[in-house]
Amino acid sequence: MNCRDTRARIAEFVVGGLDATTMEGVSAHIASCSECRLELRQLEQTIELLHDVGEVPVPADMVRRVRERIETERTGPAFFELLLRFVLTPQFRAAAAACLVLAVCSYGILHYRGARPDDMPAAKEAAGVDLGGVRSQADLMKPRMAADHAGAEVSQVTGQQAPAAVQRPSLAKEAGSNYRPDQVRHAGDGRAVHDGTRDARLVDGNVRKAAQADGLKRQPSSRELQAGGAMNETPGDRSSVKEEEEQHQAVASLREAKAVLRTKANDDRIAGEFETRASIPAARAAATPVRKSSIADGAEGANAQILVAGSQYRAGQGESLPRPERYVANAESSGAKEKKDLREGVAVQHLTVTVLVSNAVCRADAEAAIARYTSRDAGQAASELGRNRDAYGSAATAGRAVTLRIGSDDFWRIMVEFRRVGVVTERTPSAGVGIGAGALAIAEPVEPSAPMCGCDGGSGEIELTVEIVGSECVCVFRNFLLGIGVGCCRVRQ
Amino acid sequence: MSNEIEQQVAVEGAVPVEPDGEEFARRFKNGEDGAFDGLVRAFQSRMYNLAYRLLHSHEDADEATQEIFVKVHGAIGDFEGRSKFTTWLYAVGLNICRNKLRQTKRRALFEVRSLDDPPESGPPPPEASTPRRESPPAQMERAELMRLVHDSIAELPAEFAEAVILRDLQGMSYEDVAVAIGCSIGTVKSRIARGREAVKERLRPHLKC
Repeated sequence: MNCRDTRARIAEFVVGGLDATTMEGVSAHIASCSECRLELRQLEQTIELLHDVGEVPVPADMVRRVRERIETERTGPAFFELLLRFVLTPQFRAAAAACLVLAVCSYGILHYRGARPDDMPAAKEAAGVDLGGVRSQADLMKPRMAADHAGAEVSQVTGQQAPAAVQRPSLAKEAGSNYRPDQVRHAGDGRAVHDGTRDARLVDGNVRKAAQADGLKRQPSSRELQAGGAMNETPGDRSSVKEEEEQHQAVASLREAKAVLRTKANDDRIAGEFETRASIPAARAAATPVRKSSIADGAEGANAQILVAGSQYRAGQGESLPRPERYVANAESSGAKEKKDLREGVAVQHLTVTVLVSNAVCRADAEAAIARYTSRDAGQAASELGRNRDAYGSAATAGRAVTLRIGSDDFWRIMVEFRRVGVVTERTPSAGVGIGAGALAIAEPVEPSAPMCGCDGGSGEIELTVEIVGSECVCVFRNFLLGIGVGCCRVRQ
Repeated sequence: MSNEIEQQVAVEGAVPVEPDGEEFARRFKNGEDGAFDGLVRAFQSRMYNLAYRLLHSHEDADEATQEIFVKVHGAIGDFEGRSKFTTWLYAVGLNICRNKLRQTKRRALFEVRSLDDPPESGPPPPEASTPRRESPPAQMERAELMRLVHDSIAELPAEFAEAVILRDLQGMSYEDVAVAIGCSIGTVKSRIARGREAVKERLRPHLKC
């Protein structure tokens, strides 16, 4: 028996869990090998330490409280106590919240439908469209699909240009509430898009869908597709192609940056070093309450970009990323001193965080990190150590989207920590991300094994995508209410 | 050799004196006043510590301990003495802690905490049960080591943690652990071995050998 075999069995050897032959083999090896004897002594020391773990004191009057509880259970809890218990369950609260939302939506829809017919002439005039009796006004007032079909049908049947955009205040919310209602239009498939976004594929798809919905057997021609594309253009706004190109350029530049990072990471693997393409100092400053800012305010680098409600911004080297107005407004109130205001002013229905781990090599480590992150116990243990960590959510499976849902009208905090990113050894530098209302930070490690930063506060729905490619960690945040940031960290191993 | 190690460790480790659970059960069944209160007093520390080590929260441990004794109060009539009372009690305790753990995980999905929230009241720093005459730096070092041990146990998978806690912290025999957990002795030994190994790996940089 060699050292490796012995060490693998040493713990079972101590508990006597091996068969007689193996026990003898391990025993003989330990007698002749000083390193394995050391291993055995370390295990013995561990067992001693386990035995030495002190007892935590029991809370006072346990006997009395047990007695009272037995009495309560014997007589049965009062009706109101039972009712209160039921009302306090998360399931009830979730159901109540859902009912409330449904009620508000129903009221809004009914109210909206009642009010719209008065606006119709103005809308028709603004759009310059003769509907020709193809659709009734009431039909056109139906949200989403009715409007889509009407628009598509008009363009197909009459050959006239469809309404430029059915502007609805409610769509501002769909588009992320980062824009004024008049900046938000309906893309045609129920999705709201900002004026700055032009997605030809989306429009093409809509026209095809509309054609299918109307029973057309043939596929729309390219001219019709062009007409469909025109649906989404406002008069005077002819920059869609340019913006599209910019989007493609942004994506290309991000890919290019990632490729550079990969190459560099392979070239110079220096343990303990940590670099970031996004500006970590800026991100750190962004998380500082004094500045009340965000990563958007100062993130720089060729690969930095922001996606807000479908609009894409990018910044070249040394440039700051633009900040949507709404985002700024929330960022202003997200400082430590204003947290109370934000807490009172923002109702969080739920928070969704999606973590995607896409690299098979580091999947196991990422999985372990996510599992640790989502483990309440780990969070609490870390909290006890003063590491300022917390953990929420469900167990995660790497390679699949991980969704954490948090429902509350209070603050939330998210910290995603990858303490061991990539192909790692012990005590590798880490990359971490944090999200908050108007504050988003990408962290650099304080020390190799230290946990990462986090931000606080916020509301709305957030999508977070963490992509780990080799030794780099690209984090994309999409916050549909407050703003979005992108950071790209690089971790050397 | 392994038995010697076990015996040696058992001698060095603080194995608490076991109260006579069967006697409490008998007196309770006979309707003796105060028998149940005595039982709670005798075993509350063990149950609370078991719950705390498994649930890592004083609040949850407190509630679980109460539930354990309420359950025992209702079911002690069914205790027939086929196993040791303490083993039966630990089995009840483990079941309640497992349920509590599941509830806690579900609850965590809806729970929200802020950075500004004060941390949940953690345990008092785990200290060695045997007082030692050591210099202040050595005491600090030991306190840190015990904290690490505490964290290491908390990080163990539940099934390993159960086995290690019952064996090494509560001082139960392998047979009793197997009955309480509800698996074979071989499985218990394997879980204890793997649990200890995991703790050792975590402590390795701090072990003096």
